Amino acid sequence: MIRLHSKPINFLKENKGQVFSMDVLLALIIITMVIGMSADALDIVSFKISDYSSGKSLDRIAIDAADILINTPGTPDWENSNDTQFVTPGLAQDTNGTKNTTKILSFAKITHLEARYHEFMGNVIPPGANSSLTIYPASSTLEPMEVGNGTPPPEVTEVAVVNRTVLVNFRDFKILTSMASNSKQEICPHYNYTGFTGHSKPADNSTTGWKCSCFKITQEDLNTTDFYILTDPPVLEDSGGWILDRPDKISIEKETFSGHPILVNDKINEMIGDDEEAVIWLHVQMPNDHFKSSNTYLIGVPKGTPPDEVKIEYLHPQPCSFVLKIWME
Amino acid sequence: MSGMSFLLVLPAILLFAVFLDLTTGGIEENSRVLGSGAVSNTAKDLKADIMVAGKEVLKSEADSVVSSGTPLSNSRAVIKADLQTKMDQMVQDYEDNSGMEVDCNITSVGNSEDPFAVQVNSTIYVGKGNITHWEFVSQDIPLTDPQYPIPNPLPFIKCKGHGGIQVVNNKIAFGSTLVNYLEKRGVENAFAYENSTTAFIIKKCPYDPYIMHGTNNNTLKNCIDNGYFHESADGPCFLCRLEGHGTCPHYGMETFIVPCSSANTSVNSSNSSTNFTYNTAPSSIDHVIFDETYNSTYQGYRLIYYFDGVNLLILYLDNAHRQKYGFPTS
Repeated sequence: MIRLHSKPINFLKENKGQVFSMDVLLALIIITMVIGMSADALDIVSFKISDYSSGKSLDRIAIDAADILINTPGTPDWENSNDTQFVTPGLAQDTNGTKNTTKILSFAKITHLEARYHEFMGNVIPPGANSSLTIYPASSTLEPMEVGNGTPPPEVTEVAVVNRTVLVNFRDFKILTSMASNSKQEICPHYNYTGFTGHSKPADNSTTGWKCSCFKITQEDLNTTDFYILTDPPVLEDSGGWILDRPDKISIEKETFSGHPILVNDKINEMIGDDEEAVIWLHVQMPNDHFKSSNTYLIGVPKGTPPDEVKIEYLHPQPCSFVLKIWME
Repeated sequence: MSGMSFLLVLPAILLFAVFLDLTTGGIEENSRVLGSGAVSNTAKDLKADIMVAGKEVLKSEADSVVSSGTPLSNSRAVIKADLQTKMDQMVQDYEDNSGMEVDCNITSVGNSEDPFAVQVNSTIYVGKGNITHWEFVSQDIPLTDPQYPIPNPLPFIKCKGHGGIQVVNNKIAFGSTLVNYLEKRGVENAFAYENSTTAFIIKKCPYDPYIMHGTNNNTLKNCIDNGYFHESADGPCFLCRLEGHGTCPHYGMETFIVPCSSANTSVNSSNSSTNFTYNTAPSSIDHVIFDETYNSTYQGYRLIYYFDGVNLLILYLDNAHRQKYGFPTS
């Protein structure tokens, strides 16, 4: 501190003095330390901010990529094209007429993405980013699908993971008709037809009953489709039976269920004959309690589908976990 | 506070400001994402609600016409107003429960390309904060949903004041009413329709192309047993049926009116008299029988479409309809 003299000092005549007092020097040391520590703290904070924002941007990239894959059908008809440039690989099933099915993932699109995963994903995630995608079905009877494989290298410090629950339509199977407990009741051609017993509807006071429903087939369908009858849950041989016929070729020969999907191509071929198209009736007889707890389907599957792939689980979209991992290389 | 102290505090202030900015930015971003999802989902829910409310309104108006026999003066306007009222209630519920600004305006109700559907056009607005969604929606409401069975209102309007008609086993049984109606109009051989029946619920015929009906003796029988309707350029559309028009300029539908036979006497009234002796009678198509313009109820020739020794089932069909359904012309 500067001492105050009782007498005023004439600095012009003084030849001794102190430019920096000890106090100023001590203060400078403290200030330098404070500034140094602040700079260091700022440096640490700025590093953390950069780390945080890069982490956030990786999360953002992963979330955006998952949104594109799950919520959009992608570039029109991309799954049938060989082009990968400028193609957005959305996996959502295309809208089916007025029915919006875009919340269901298409198996055909998943398979197409799997075939050239890294090329397609290059259009969704930025350069330098790498990814892997696996779809785990909730049902234990279905195998997980590794759409895009890859493991982050050990030196990667950060991996963004998006895990969403989605519905996946595993196969392009078409339900031509079904006999659900609440399905509409049709009067079949056996009604009041002389010589045949009519197909009485399931009633509370009877032990068995019939449910009948019709569907249309064309010659073109025969070339592209295999037809199966299957029940959910599987119905055993001694529990009722089924008939396929058409109004002008009525049949009373009842076939039995076998507990597994039944290929009925021959029957359908016989029904349609040389006609361009035909309306065919499926008649199902079952104990009444079976009708309440089970469903019978006649389905069309792409020609050549192996019989062991014709599963009841493939008729409806299945819940799955969609796991997308993204990291920077 | 001295200048030195301020210098010491300054870095802390800067750091605090940076953290505050980051946190606020993150919160705003999350809020925007959540808000956007809520707005988009509400718009989708509203579209689904219009479909359900539309089916309810169509069924309710058809049921009301069936029970009263009184036609609607302007079915499009009535359905539009009913649907708007239903949607206003739903919009109010959305606003009360979600705090969003929601608006659904039914702009028009009209004919769809498919005669078994009614087209509803609407605008949907959903807003939350500075996120808004506006969409023009055009939907075809099906008339053939088994969960919302819609009756054919036309016979009830046309036969009002000519005697009662009954609904038995999902069929309209005319008793003597249709004969009274046709005779009052001076239509020839009206008695052929004593105890006749027709379809009650609108169901689309699966035997398409319709020429399939004539390829064997059982297809038409099954079509009539089920009471199916067919597409028709001359038949009235559903909206005009609600107004009591036997024909209209829109692409519509038609069904058979089946003269009494030994197979369907059980669903008719106590008067079991019938007459199979006519060779010609009004063509058994509903728009032919209910078209009240001059000379429009033309005659058809008798067609025995099913006979098994016990059941004798006949229709009267003009040549144009015989061709349409695959029967030989006379």
